[in-house]
Amino acid sequence: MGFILNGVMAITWQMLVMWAVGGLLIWLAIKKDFEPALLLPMGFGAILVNLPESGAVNQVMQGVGEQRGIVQWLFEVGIEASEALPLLLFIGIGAMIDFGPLLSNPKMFLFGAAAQGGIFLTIIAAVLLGFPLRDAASIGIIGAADGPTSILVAKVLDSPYFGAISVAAYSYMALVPIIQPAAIKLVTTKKERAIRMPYNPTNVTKATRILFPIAVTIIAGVVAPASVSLVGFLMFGNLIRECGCLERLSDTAQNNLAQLVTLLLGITISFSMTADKFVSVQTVLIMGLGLVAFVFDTICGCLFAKLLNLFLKNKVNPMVGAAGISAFPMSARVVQKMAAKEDPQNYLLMHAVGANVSGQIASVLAGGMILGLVPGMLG
Amino acid sequence: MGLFHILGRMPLASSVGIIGGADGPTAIFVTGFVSGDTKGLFSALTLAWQGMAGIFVVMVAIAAIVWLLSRMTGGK
Repeated sequence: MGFILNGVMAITWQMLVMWAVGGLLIWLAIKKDFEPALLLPMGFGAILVNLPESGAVNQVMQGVGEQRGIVQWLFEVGIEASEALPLLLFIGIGAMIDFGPLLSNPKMFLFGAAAQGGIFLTIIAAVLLGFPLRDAASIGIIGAADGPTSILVAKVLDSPYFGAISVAAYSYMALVPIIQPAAIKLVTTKKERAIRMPYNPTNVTKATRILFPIAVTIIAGVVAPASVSLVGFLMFGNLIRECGCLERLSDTAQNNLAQLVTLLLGITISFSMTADKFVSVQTVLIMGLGLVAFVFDTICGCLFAKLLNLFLKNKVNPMVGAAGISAFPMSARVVQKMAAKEDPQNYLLMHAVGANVSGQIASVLAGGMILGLVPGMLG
Repeated sequence: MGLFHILGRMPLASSVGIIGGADGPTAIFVTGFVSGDTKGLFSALTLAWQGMAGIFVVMVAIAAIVWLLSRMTGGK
Protein backbone atom coordinates (compact mmCIF):
# COMPACT_ATOMS: atom_id res chain seq x y z
CA MET A 1 0.00 0.00 0.00
CA GLY A 2 3.09 2.16 0.34
CA PHE A 3 3.06 2.96 -3.36
CA ILE A 4 -0.21 4.88 -2.93
CA LEU A 5 1.43 7.19 -0.44
CA ASN A 6 4.53 7.64 -2.61
CA GLY A 7 2.74 10.11 -4.85
CA VAL A 8 1.28 12.04 -1.93
CA MET A 9 4.66 12.19 -0.17
CA ALA A 10 6.27 13.49 -3.36
CA ILE A 11 4.05 16.60 -3.46
CA THR A 12 6.06 19.73 -2.76
CA TRP A 13 4.81 23.18 -1.78
CA GLN A 14 5.98 24.46 -5.17
CA MET A 15 3.64 21.97 -6.87
CA LEU A 16 0.78 23.22 -4.72
CA VAL A 17 1.58 26.76 -5.80
CA MET A 18 1.44 25.67 -9.44
CA TRP A 19 -1.90 23.92 -8.89
CA ALA A 20 -3.16 27.21 -7.50
CA VAL A 21 -1.71 29.08 -10.49
CA GLY A 22 -3.38 26.58 -12.84
CA GLY A 23 -6.65 26.98 -11.00
CA LEU A 24 -6.37 30.74 -11.18
CA LEU A 25 -5.81 30.66 -14.95
CA ILE A 26 -8.81 28.37 -15.38
CA TRP A 27 -10.93 30.67 -13.21
CA LEU A 28 -9.81 33.73 -15.18
CA ALA A 29 -10.67 31.94 -18.40
CA ILE A 30 -14.13 30.76 -17.36
CA LYS A 31 -15.35 33.38 -14.94
CA LYS A 32 -13.70 36.50 -16.35
CA ASP A 33 -13.50 35.41 -19.98
CA PHE A 34 -9.77 36.29 -20.13
CA GLU A 35 -8.43 34.73 -23.33
CA PRO A 36 -10.15 31.44 -22.46
CA ALA A 37 -8.86 29.63 -25.56
CA LEU A 38 -5.36 29.85 -24.17
CA LEU A 39 -5.54 30.41 -20.45
CA LEU A 40 -7.76 27.40 -19.82
CA PRO A 41 -5.46 24.89 -21.56
CA MET A 42 -2.43 26.54 -19.94
CA GLY A 43 -4.07 26.35 -16.54
CA PHE A 44 -5.04 22.72 -16.91
CA GLY A 45 -1.65 21.88 -18.36
CA ALA A 46 0.05 23.56 -15.40
CA ILE A 47 -1.74 21.12 -13.13
CA LEU A 48 -0.92 18.16 -15.40
CA VAL A 49 2.83 18.76 -15.48
CA ASN A 50 3.06 19.53 -11.76
CA LEU A 51 1.70 16.24 -10.50
CA PRO A 52 4.39 14.07 -8.88
CA GLU A 53 6.21 11.94 -11.51
CA SER A 54 3.63 13.10 -14.01
CA GLY A 55 3.30 10.89 -17.06
CA ALA A 56 2.64 14.02 -19.11
CA VAL A 57 6.39 14.74 -19.09
CA ASN A 58 9.30 12.37 -19.69
CA GLN A 59 9.93 10.05 -16.77
CA VAL A 60 12.48 7.35 -16.07
CA MET A 61 10.54 4.33 -14.87
CA GLN A 62 12.40 1.72 -12.88
CA GLY A 63 12.85 -1.46 -14.88
CA VAL A 64 11.32 0.12 -17.98
CA GLY A 65 13.51 3.05 -18.88
CA GLU A 66 12.59 6.48 -20.15
CA GLN A 67 8.95 7.04 -21.04
CA ARG A 68 8.07 10.01 -23.22
CA GLY A 69 5.36 12.32 -21.91
CA ILE A 70 2.87 13.75 -24.41
CA VAL A 71 3.08 17.36 -23.20
CA GLN A 72 6.87 17.30 -23.34
CA TRP A 73 6.76 15.65 -26.76
CA LEU A 74 4.37 18.32 -28.06
CA PHE A 75 6.71 20.99 -26.68
CA GLU A 76 9.84 19.48 -28.19
CA VAL A 77 8.24 18.94 -31.59
CA GLY A 78 5.83 21.86 -31.78
CA ILE A 79 7.89 24.62 -30.21
CA GLU A 80 11.47 23.67 -29.45
CA ALA A 81 12.30 22.06 -32.81
CA SER A 82 11.02 24.79 -35.11
CA GLU A 83 8.51 27.00 -33.29
CA ALA A 84 5.93 25.35 -35.55
CA LEU A 85 2.83 25.89 -33.44
CA PRO A 86 3.03 29.69 -33.06
CA LEU A 87 4.01 30.05 -36.71
CA LEU A 88 1.10 27.93 -37.92
CA LEU A 89 -1.20 30.00 -35.72
CA PHE A 90 0.09 33.06 -37.53
CA ILE A 91 -1.32 31.73 -40.79
CA GLY A 92 -4.74 31.71 -39.18
CA ILE A 93 -4.27 35.17 -37.70
CA GLY A 94 -3.16 36.58 -41.05
CA ALA A 95 -6.22 35.09 -42.68
CA MET A 96 -8.44 36.76 -40.09
CA ILE A 97 -7.08 40.27 -40.46
CA ASP A 98 -8.61 42.80 -42.83
CA PHE A 99 -5.87 45.34 -43.56
CA GLY A 100 -8.33 47.56 -45.46
CA PRO A 101 -8.62 50.32 -42.82
CA LEU A 102 -4.84 50.50 -42.73
CA LEU A 103 -4.31 50.41 -46.48
CA SER A 104 -6.85 53.20 -46.95
CA ASN A 105 -5.08 55.35 -44.37
CA PRO A 106 -1.34 54.60 -44.62
CA LYS A 107 -0.22 57.13 -42.00
CA MET A 108 -1.56 54.70 -39.39
CA PHE A 109 1.55 52.60 -40.04
CA LEU A 110 3.47 55.12 -37.93
CA PHE A 111 1.33 54.53 -34.85
CA GLY A 112 1.88 50.81 -35.03
CA ALA A 113 5.61 51.47 -35.04
CA ALA A 114 5.51 53.96 -32.17
CA ALA A 115 3.51 51.69 -29.90
CA GLN A 116 6.32 49.13 -29.85
CA GLY A 117 8.43 51.51 -27.76
CA GLY A 118 7.27 49.80 -24.60
CA ILE A 119 9.08 46.62 -25.66
CA PHE A 120 12.47 48.27 -25.63
CA LEU A 121 11.83 50.37 -22.52
CA THR A 122 10.95 47.15 -20.74
CA ILE A 123 14.15 45.53 -21.98
CA ILE A 124 16.08 48.41 -20.41
CA ALA A 125 14.10 48.06 -17.18
CA ALA A 126 14.76 44.32 -17.10
CA VAL A 127 18.49 44.86 -17.57
CA LEU A 128 18.46 47.38 -14.71
CA LEU A 129 16.77 44.76 -12.55
CA GLY A 130 19.62 42.39 -13.23
CA PHE A 131 18.33 40.19 -16.04
CA PRO A 132 20.96 39.38 -18.67
CA LEU A 133 20.23 40.84 -22.10
CA ARG A 134 19.01 37.53 -23.56
CA ASP A 135 16.35 37.20 -20.86
CA ALA A 136 15.56 40.93 -20.81
CA ALA A 137 14.82 40.80 -24.55
CA SER A 138 12.58 37.76 -24.07
CA ILE A 139 10.72 39.61 -21.30
CA GLY A 140 10.49 42.87 -23.24
CA ILE A 141 8.77 41.13 -26.16
CA ILE A 142 5.74 40.65 -23.91
CA GLY A 143 5.07 44.25 -24.96
CA ALA A 144 4.47 43.02 -28.49
CA ALA A 145 1.02 42.06 -27.14
CA ASP A 146 1.20 39.09 -29.45
CA GLY A 147 1.31 35.56 -28.08
CA PRO A 148 2.99 33.77 -30.99
CA THR A 149 5.67 36.45 -31.31
CA SER A 150 6.42 36.34 -27.58
CA ILE A 151 6.59 32.55 -27.63
CA LEU A 152 8.81 32.42 -30.67
CA VAL A 153 11.28 35.07 -29.47
CA ALA A 154 11.53 33.57 -25.98
CA LYS A 155 12.13 30.14 -27.45
CA VAL A 156 14.70 31.16 -30.05
CA LEU A 157 16.62 33.13 -27.39
CA ASP A 158 16.31 30.04 -25.19
CA SER A 159 15.02 31.97 -22.22
CA PRO A 160 14.55 29.89 -19.06
CA TYR A 161 11.52 32.08 -18.25
CA PHE A 162 9.51 30.91 -21.23
CA GLY A 163 6.55 29.80 -19.12
CA ALA A 164 6.24 33.04 -17.20
CA ILE A 165 6.62 35.06 -20.39
CA SER A 166 3.85 33.10 -22.12
CA VAL A 167 1.48 33.46 -19.17
CA ALA A 168 2.25 37.17 -18.89
CA ALA A 169 1.78 37.78 -22.61
CA TYR A 170 -1.65 36.17 -22.79
CA SER A 171 -2.87 37.42 -19.42
CA TYR A 172 -2.07 41.05 -20.12
CA MET A 173 -3.57 40.85 -23.60
CA ALA A 174 -6.82 40.01 -21.89
CA LEU A 175 -6.34 42.91 -19.47
CA VAL A 176 -6.00 45.55 -22.20
CA PRO A 177 -9.47 47.01 -21.43
CA ILE A 178 -8.24 47.69 -17.89
CA ILE A 179 -4.62 48.65 -18.51
CA GLN A 180 -5.01 50.96 -21.49
CA PRO A 181 -7.63 53.42 -20.23
CA ALA A 182 -5.56 54.14 -17.13
CA ALA A 183 -2.36 54.59 -19.13
CA ILE A 184 -4.09 56.80 -21.72
CA LYS A 185 -5.55 59.09 -19.06
CA LEU A 186 -2.09 59.43 -17.56
CA VAL A 187 -0.66 61.16 -20.64
CA THR A 188 -3.64 62.86 -22.29
CA THR A 189 -6.00 65.64 -21.35
CA LYS A 190 -9.78 65.58 -21.65
CA LYS A 191 -9.52 68.06 -24.52
CA GLU A 192 -7.05 65.84 -26.39
CA ARG A 193 -9.23 62.78 -25.93
CA ALA A 194 -12.13 64.69 -27.46
CA ILE A 195 -10.29 65.53 -30.70
CA ARG A 196 -12.41 64.52 -33.66
CA MET A 197 -10.88 62.83 -36.69
CA PRO A 198 -12.97 62.70 -39.85
CA TYR A 199 -12.66 59.41 -41.72
CA ASN A 200 -12.04 59.83 -45.44
CA PRO A 201 -10.55 56.56 -46.60
CA THR A 202 -9.02 56.14 -50.04
CA ASN A 203 -10.33 53.28 -52.09
CA VAL A 204 -8.30 50.10 -51.75
CA THR A 205 -8.18 48.01 -54.90
CA LYS A 206 -7.99 44.26 -54.93
CA ALA A 207 -4.57 44.48 -56.57
CA THR A 208 -3.29 46.51 -53.62
CA ARG A 209 -4.72 43.99 -51.16
CA ILE A 210 -2.96 41.16 -53.00
CA LEU A 211 0.37 42.91 -53.51
CA PHE A 212 0.50 44.21 -49.93
CA PRO A 213 1.36 40.93 -48.15
CA ILE A 214 3.98 40.11 -50.78
CA ALA A 215 5.59 43.54 -50.49
CA VAL A 216 5.60 43.45 -46.68
CA THR A 217 7.25 40.05 -46.64
CA ILE A 218 10.00 41.12 -49.02
CA ILE A 219 10.72 44.43 -47.28
CA ALA A 220 10.65 43.01 -43.77
CA GLY A 221 12.66 39.99 -44.85
CA VAL A 222 15.41 42.08 -46.43
CA VAL A 223 15.72 44.46 -43.46
CA ALA A 224 15.21 41.89 -40.69
CA PRO A 225 15.88 38.38 -42.03
CA ALA A 226 15.14 36.85 -38.64
CA SER A 227 11.54 38.04 -39.00
CA VAL A 228 10.89 36.15 -42.25
CA SER A 229 9.15 33.21 -40.63
CA LEU A 230 6.97 35.46 -38.45
CA VAL A 231 6.09 38.06 -41.05
CA GLY A 232 6.00 35.52 -43.86
CA PHE A 233 3.45 33.24 -42.25
CA LEU A 234 1.30 36.18 -41.18
CA MET A 235 1.32 37.57 -44.70
CA PHE A 236 0.82 34.13 -46.22
CA GLY A 237 -2.41 33.82 -44.26
CA ASN A 238 -3.45 37.27 -45.39
CA LEU A 239 -2.66 36.46 -49.03
CA ILE A 240 -4.84 33.36 -48.84
CA ARG A 241 -7.64 35.61 -47.62
CA GLU A 242 -7.22 38.37 -50.16
CA CYS A 243 -6.45 36.40 -53.32
CA GLY A 244 -10.14 35.60 -53.78
CA CYS A 245 -9.57 32.12 -55.22
CA LEU A 246 -8.90 30.18 -52.02
CA GLU A 247 -12.01 30.79 -49.97
CA ARG A 248 -12.09 27.30 -48.52
CA LEU A 249 -8.43 27.48 -47.52
CA SER A 250 -8.98 30.91 -46.03
CA ASP A 251 -11.97 29.62 -44.09
CA THR A 252 -9.95 26.62 -42.90
CA ALA A 253 -7.06 28.84 -41.82
CA GLN A 254 -9.30 31.26 -39.94
CA ASN A 255 -11.32 28.61 -38.18
CA ASN A 256 -10.14 25.02 -38.09
CA LEU A 257 -6.40 25.64 -38.27
CA ALA A 258 -6.43 28.53 -35.82
CA GLN A 259 -8.60 26.67 -33.33
CA LEU A 260 -6.70 23.39 -33.60
CA VAL A 261 -3.33 25.06 -33.10
CA THR A 262 -4.68 27.20 -30.26
CA LEU A 263 -5.98 24.04 -28.59
CA LEU A 264 -2.56 22.41 -28.74
CA LEU A 265 -0.51 25.55 -28.08
CA GLY A 266 -1.99 26.27 -24.68
CA ILE A 267 -1.41 22.82 -23.27
CA THR A 268 2.00 22.61 -24.91
CA ILE A 269 3.20 25.84 -23.30
CA SER A 270 2.32 24.39 -19.92
CA PHE A 271 5.41 22.17 -20.18
CA SER A 272 7.43 25.26 -19.30
CA MET A 273 5.28 25.84 -16.21
CA THR A 274 6.86 23.16 -14.07
CA ALA A 275 7.32 24.26 -10.49
CA ASP A 276 11.10 24.31 -10.63
CA LYS A 277 11.03 26.80 -13.49
CA PHE A 278 7.97 28.85 -12.57
CA VAL A 279 7.98 29.32 -8.81
CA SER A 280 10.63 31.97 -8.36
CA VAL A 281 11.13 35.65 -7.65
CA GLN A 282 11.95 36.13 -11.32
CA THR A 283 8.42 35.07 -12.29
CA VAL A 284 6.96 37.81 -10.12
CA LEU A 285 9.38 40.33 -11.64
CA ILE A 286 8.43 39.17 -15.12
CA MET A 287 4.73 39.63 -14.36
CA GLY A 288 5.51 43.16 -13.20
CA LEU A 289 7.66 43.89 -16.23
CA GLY A 290 4.93 42.57 -18.53
CA LEU A 291 2.56 45.14 -17.08
CA VAL A 292 5.24 47.81 -17.53
CA ALA A 293 5.57 46.79 -21.18
CA PHE A 294 1.88 47.21 -21.91
CA VAL A 295 1.68 50.52 -20.08
CA PHE A 296 4.71 51.93 -21.87
CA ASP A 297 3.43 50.68 -25.24
CA THR A 298 0.27 52.70 -24.68
CA ILE A 299 2.15 55.75 -23.44
CA CYS A 300 4.62 55.66 -26.36
CA GLY A 301 1.78 55.49 -28.87
CA CYS A 302 -0.06 58.43 -27.27
CA LEU A 303 3.08 60.54 -26.94
CA PHE A 304 3.99 59.90 -30.57
CA ALA A 305 0.58 61.15 -31.64
CA LYS A 306 1.04 64.23 -29.47
CA LEU A 307 4.46 64.80 -31.06
CA LEU A 308 2.93 64.59 -34.54
CA ASN A 309 0.26 67.08 -33.51
CA LEU A 310 2.98 69.72 -33.08
CA PHE A 311 3.41 69.61 -36.84
CA LEU A 312 -0.05 68.73 -38.11
CA LYS A 313 -2.81 71.09 -38.99
CA ASN A 314 -5.51 68.40 -38.65
CA LYS A 315 -4.81 67.05 -35.20
CA VAL A 316 -4.68 63.37 -34.39
CA ASN A 317 -6.50 62.10 -31.35
CA PRO A 318 -3.64 60.74 -29.16
CA MET A 319 -5.74 57.74 -28.19
CA VAL A 320 -5.35 56.44 -31.73
CA GLY A 321 -1.66 56.09 -30.96
CA ALA A 322 -2.52 53.81 -28.07
CA ALA A 323 -4.38 51.56 -30.49
CA GLY A 324 -1.06 50.83 -32.17
CA ILE A 325 -0.41 47.86 -29.89
CA SER A 326 -1.05 44.48 -31.35
CA ALA A 327 -3.99 43.50 -29.13
CA PHE A 328 -6.48 43.31 -31.99
CA PRO A 329 -9.37 44.17 -31.92
CA MET A 330 -9.60 44.92 -28.20
CA SER A 331 -7.41 47.98 -28.25
CA ALA A 332 -9.39 49.62 -31.07
CA ARG A 333 -12.61 49.00 -29.16
CA VAL A 334 -11.13 50.47 -25.98
CA VAL A 335 -10.13 53.63 -27.83
CA GLN A 336 -13.55 54.00 -29.45
CA LYS A 337 -15.26 53.51 -26.10
CA MET A 338 -13.10 56.17 -24.45
CA ALA A 339 -13.68 58.55 -27.35
CA ALA A 340 -17.44 58.08 -27.14
CA LYS A 341 -17.27 58.76 -23.43
CA GLU A 342 -15.66 62.14 -24.01
CA ASP A 343 -17.82 62.95 -27.05
CA PRO A 344 -20.65 60.64 -28.11
CA GLN A 345 -20.38 61.95 -31.69
CA ASN A 346 -16.69 61.09 -32.02
CA TYR A 347 -16.10 58.03 -34.17
CA LEU A 348 -12.51 56.92 -33.99
CA LEU A 349 -13.04 53.22 -34.56
CA MET A 350 -11.77 52.96 -38.13
CA HIS A 351 -8.68 55.05 -37.36
CA ALA A 352 -8.08 52.91 -34.29
CA VAL A 353 -8.55 49.70 -36.27
CA GLY A 354 -6.03 50.93 -38.82
CA ALA A 355 -3.50 51.63 -36.07
CA ASN A 356 -4.34 48.32 -34.40
CA VAL A 357 -3.63 46.16 -37.46
CA SER A 358 -0.54 48.22 -38.11
CA GLY A 359 0.55 47.23 -34.63
CA GLN A 360 0.19 43.58 -35.63
CA ILE A 361 2.79 44.05 -38.36
CA ALA A 362 5.02 46.25 -36.20
CA SER A 363 4.99 43.79 -33.29
CA VAL A 364 6.11 40.99 -35.57
CA LEU A 365 8.82 43.26 -36.93
CA ALA A 366 9.88 44.06 -33.37
CA GLY A 367 10.26 40.34 -32.72
CA GLY A 368 12.33 40.03 -35.87
CA MET A 369 14.52 42.99 -34.91
CA ILE A 370 15.20 41.50 -31.50
CA LEU A 371 16.05 38.12 -33.01
CA GLY A 372 18.31 39.80 -35.52
CA LEU A 373 20.11 42.14 -33.11
CA VAL A 374 20.36 40.34 -29.76
CA PRO A 375 22.44 37.28 -30.79
CA GLY A 376 25.13 39.61 -32.12
CA MET A 377 25.21 41.47 -28.80
CA LEU A 378 25.56 38.32 -26.76
CA GLY A 379 28.92 37.39 -28.25
CA MET B 1 29.81 42.04 0.12
CA GLY B 2 26.01 41.90 0.36
CA LEU B 3 25.68 45.66 0.16
CA PHE B 4 27.99 45.89 -2.81
CA HIS B 5 26.14 43.02 -4.47
CA ILE B 6 22.94 45.04 -4.24
CA LEU B 7 24.60 48.33 -5.13
CA GLY B 8 26.36 46.67 -8.02
CA ARG B 9 22.96 46.08 -9.62
CA MET B 10 22.50 49.84 -9.87
CA PRO B 11 25.37 51.22 -11.91
CA LEU B 12 25.12 54.83 -10.66
CA ALA B 13 24.74 53.91 -7.01
CA SER B 14 27.77 51.65 -7.06
CA SER B 15 29.83 54.41 -8.66
CA VAL B 16 28.94 56.60 -5.67
CA GLY B 17 29.91 53.73 -3.40
CA ILE B 18 33.35 53.52 -4.97
CA ILE B 19 33.89 57.25 -4.64
CA GLY B 20 32.92 56.86 -0.98
CA GLY B 21 36.24 55.21 -0.33
CA ALA B 22 36.15 51.46 -0.87
CA ASP B 23 39.53 49.83 -0.45
CA GLY B 24 41.52 48.73 -3.50
CA PRO B 25 40.46 45.09 -3.94
CA THR B 26 36.82 45.86 -3.17
CA ALA B 27 36.86 48.78 -5.58
CA ILE B 28 38.26 46.55 -8.33
CA PHE B 29 35.59 43.92 -7.61
CA VAL B 30 32.79 46.49 -7.67
CA THR B 31 34.02 48.24 -10.81
CA GLY B 32 34.11 44.83 -12.52
CA PHE B 33 30.53 44.22 -11.49
CA VAL B 34 29.52 47.70 -12.54
CA SER B 35 31.19 47.28 -15.92
CA GLY B 36 29.18 44.10 -16.51
CA ASP B 37 25.88 45.81 -15.74
CA THR B 38 26.84 48.95 -17.63
CA LYS B 39 27.70 46.85 -20.65
CA GLY B 40 24.28 45.20 -20.45
CA LEU B 41 22.60 48.58 -20.12
CA PHE B 42 24.57 49.95 -23.06
CA SER B 43 23.57 46.92 -25.12
CA ALA B 44 19.93 47.43 -24.15
CA LEU B 45 20.07 51.09 -25.13
CA THR B 46 21.72 50.20 -28.44
CA LEU B 47 19.08 47.53 -29.02
CA ALA B 48 16.34 50.06 -28.27
CA TRP B 49 17.70 52.63 -30.66
CA GLN B 50 18.43 50.19 -33.47
CA GLY B 51 15.24 48.24 -32.95
CA MET B 52 12.93 51.26 -33.01
CA ALA B 53 14.80 52.79 -35.92
CA GLY B 54 14.51 49.55 -37.86
CA ILE B 55 10.80 49.25 -37.15
CA PHE B 56 10.14 52.82 -38.21
CA VAL B 57 12.21 52.47 -41.39
CA VAL B 58 10.35 49.34 -42.43
CA MET B 59 6.92 50.72 -41.56
CA VAL B 60 7.56 53.98 -43.43
CA ALA B 61 8.83 51.97 -46.42
CA ILE B 62 5.70 49.81 -46.35
CA ALA B 63 3.47 52.88 -46.02
CA ALA B 64 5.20 54.45 -49.01
CA ILE B 65 4.76 51.31 -51.08
CA VAL B 66 1.10 51.06 -50.11
CA TRP B 67 0.59 54.66 -51.20
CA LEU B 68 2.40 53.91 -54.49
CA LEU B 69 0.38 50.73 -55.03
CA SER B 70 -2.83 52.67 -54.46
CA ARG B 71 -1.78 55.20 -57.07
CA MET B 72 -0.64 52.59 -59.58
CA THR B 73 -3.69 50.34 -59.23
CA GLY B 74 -6.15 53.18 -59.51
CA GLY B 75 -7.28 53.65 -55.92
CA LYS B 76 -8.54 57.19 -55.03
